[in-house]
Amino acid sequence: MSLSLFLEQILNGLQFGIMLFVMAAGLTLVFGVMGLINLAHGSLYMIGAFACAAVAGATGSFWLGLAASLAAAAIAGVVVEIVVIRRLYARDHLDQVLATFALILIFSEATRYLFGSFPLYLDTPEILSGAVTFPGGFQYPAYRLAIIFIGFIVAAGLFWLISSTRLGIRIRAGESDREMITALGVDIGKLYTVVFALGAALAGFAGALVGAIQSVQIGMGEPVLILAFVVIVIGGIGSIPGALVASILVGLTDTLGRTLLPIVFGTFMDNSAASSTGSALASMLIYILMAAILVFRPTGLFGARG
Amino acid sequence: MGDIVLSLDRLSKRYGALLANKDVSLDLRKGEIHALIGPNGAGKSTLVKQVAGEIRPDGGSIMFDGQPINSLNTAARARAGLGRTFQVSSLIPEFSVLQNVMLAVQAQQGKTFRLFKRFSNDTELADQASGYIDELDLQGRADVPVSQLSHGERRQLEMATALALKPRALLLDEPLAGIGPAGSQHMTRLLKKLKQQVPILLIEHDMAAVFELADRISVMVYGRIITTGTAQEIKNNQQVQEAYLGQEAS
Amino acid sequence: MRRETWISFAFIVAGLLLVLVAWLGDEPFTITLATKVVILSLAGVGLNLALGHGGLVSLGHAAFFGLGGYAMGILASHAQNYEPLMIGSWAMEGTKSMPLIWLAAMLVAVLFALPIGVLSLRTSGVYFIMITLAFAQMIYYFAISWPAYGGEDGMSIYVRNSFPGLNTLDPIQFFVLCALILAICLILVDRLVKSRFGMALEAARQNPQRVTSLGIDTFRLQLTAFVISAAITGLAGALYADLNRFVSPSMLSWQVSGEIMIFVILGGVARFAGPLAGASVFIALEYFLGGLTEFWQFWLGLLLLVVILFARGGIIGVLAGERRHG
Repeated sequence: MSLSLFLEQILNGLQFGIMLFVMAAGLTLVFGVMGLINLAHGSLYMIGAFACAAVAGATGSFWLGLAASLAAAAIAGVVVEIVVIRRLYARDHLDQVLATFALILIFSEATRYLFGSFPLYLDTPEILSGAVTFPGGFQYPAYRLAIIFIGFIVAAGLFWLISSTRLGIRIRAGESDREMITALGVDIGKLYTVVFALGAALAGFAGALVGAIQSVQIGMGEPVLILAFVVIVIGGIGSIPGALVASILVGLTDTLGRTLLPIVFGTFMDNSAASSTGSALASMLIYILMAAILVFRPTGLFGARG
Repeated sequence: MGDIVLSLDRLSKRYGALLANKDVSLDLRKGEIHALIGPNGAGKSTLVKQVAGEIRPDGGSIMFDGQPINSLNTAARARAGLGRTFQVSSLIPEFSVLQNVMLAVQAQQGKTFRLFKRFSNDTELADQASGYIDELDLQGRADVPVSQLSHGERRQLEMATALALKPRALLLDEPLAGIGPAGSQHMTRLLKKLKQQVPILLIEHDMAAVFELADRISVMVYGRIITTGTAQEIKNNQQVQEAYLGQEAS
Repeated sequence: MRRETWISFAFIVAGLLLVLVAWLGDEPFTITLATKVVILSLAGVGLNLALGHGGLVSLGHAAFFGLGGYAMGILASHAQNYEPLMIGSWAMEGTKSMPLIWLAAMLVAVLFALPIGVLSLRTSGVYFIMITLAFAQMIYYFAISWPAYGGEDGMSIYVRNSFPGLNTLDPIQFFVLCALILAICLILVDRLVKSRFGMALEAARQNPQRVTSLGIDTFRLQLTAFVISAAITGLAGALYADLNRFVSPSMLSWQVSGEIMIFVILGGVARFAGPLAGASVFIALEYFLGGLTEFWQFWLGLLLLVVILFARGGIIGVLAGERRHG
């Protein structure tokens, strides 16, 4: 394998991983602060992508679409939190799983009603449509590079938010001691709504960004959601740094595995068998990674609670 | 006297700067109630947890029935015959009194993986369980779910399940806490009866009950045992009065 | 008899009457629909053991359902193509015999449930949910990317597999066969949860520390329940694939895990006839709502939300008028 192909795969893995992080950050925050497992997080991702595609299609501006994705997902988050989610905080995880599963059905069908069953296509914005040439002649799509960049900015922003702002202090307090935070006079209901909306906006944002390189369709959120779960399990529930490390790990493992494994198997198998065995194994690689980490650290790399 | 069942030899436990237990040595003999008293924060709960296997001592050893048990976990110590009740009552909430005790009898027999014989028709289990229920004066309450029991009755039920494990020593953590004066008297009578079967290491705040029940009393202050003796000796001990009883009286 | 027992009994009788009427009126479609209900109930009965009685919220039971389906598909396809099945250098004939296929389906489910259970039970609560989901997803992606048995498209079986003495292609005969299996499994699971093992499992769900302090190993209890649960759901998967004469990765998808869970919850957690009631209502909704609107799952979602937020205890619970854990 050539060096440029290898570099390309590393960047693809980073891009995949950092988008997983934007998705997983919201999930892990919501679990850490409110103790809620939210399967409908993938629906918020889908809502972001559809909002972006619809607005970009109508106005011709990807950037307006991106703003719309943030707004739509955040609003959907607030509405869902107020109508359904807040009734679930005190419930057990089983009720949370089922109620948010029901939300997936509702969101998917409503989106299908509004937009039909066919995928929408979202073009990458004009200025990012070309490729960037690195010293040495290696080329990489500008848009993907921009996603990696934006993803790391979002990560940095989140770290800043949690460590240095008033909201962040409340979030950390809420993670460690729920009674204490009420005693401090913080309106916990409002805090929960804000945290949920923040997670929703992040999911919608990721959906819009990824929507431009894949197709925008019903059910696009759930595979990403399950990968985000894998990320959280590896990183440790409630830990933002854990989510970041695990996302990159998962992104790189998956992307490199899909390229490298068939090549590795090709060294001792004939071509077609190598590619089928390699790709079948590659599709399982991140789960094997998860299992291996579980054996050594049942609460994840950065996890404290059991 | 003789027949030492449980002996602690220089147990120590430190939490950072706080020395929770320092060189605690005591023993429990057949047929006796050995009470451990002391002001709040003296380190009694830490000691109980070390004996039960919930926390590991920093130093010292625990001998039970002549065997060192330092390396056994909680479940293994329970199987070895070290019964215990908890400060906060810990039962199966949706089970009835009878079912709770039957579960303990079954655990004691070690036949949990019997997959198809009906539990509720299992007369062998039920008969044995009823015996323990009678012993703890819970007859007539066998079919009542735990959630409907009074606080005192829960304590009695906990004792019944502890007994069902056929322990060779019992660790009772404040069995009289929060059960009212009538409940206390009742429990005191029960404990007197029980000590013939099983020696008891008793952690308790109710002084009247301790003086009535205990054959020997150890007083713990700031993580150390300052003295051990009979009720009369403890009552008259100058050091104890200063460190502990005096403090209570003031 | 308790009211719940009566309701369960009435429910089963009503279902059988419906099938009888359909049979006399020569409506094979209704019988096939009823067979589907019976098979999906069986999958629910499996999950109910782990989830309802063991408190193990597995969101990955589609793995066992699909593996059962693939066990049937692989054995039957080798038999119909007269190719031996090679496992390493060891060759095995395929088979079209249902009892053998069922055995294989349960065996495969057990072989997968053991490592998945061992790993997942190292954790609890929300980790357990996510991990079971993730392992099911792993098998799902493997099935998609493994081309030998149809990959993403799945594979068809030309003729339904055979059972000695029966014509399984006759809808009513296949229905009776499936209903008998369901009955046997219902009774076995009922015995199991009322046994010493079942009580200890139930106790471990309510207060694991307590059970440990009695000296009982909760890990072994829960692993056993998880594995038996997987075997039953795997058996259901083999029957389901036989009903459709088709197996594909969609049987392994996370939606299926969610749906099996819905059968259990909609009917009523840890109740004898809960999965049966849940699956019946689910299929009835799919059939009737699906006839009215293309977007029937929207209404299913709403109904589910209402049941979870307001009607805890599920259908059987609401009818029986008594609370149980949920």
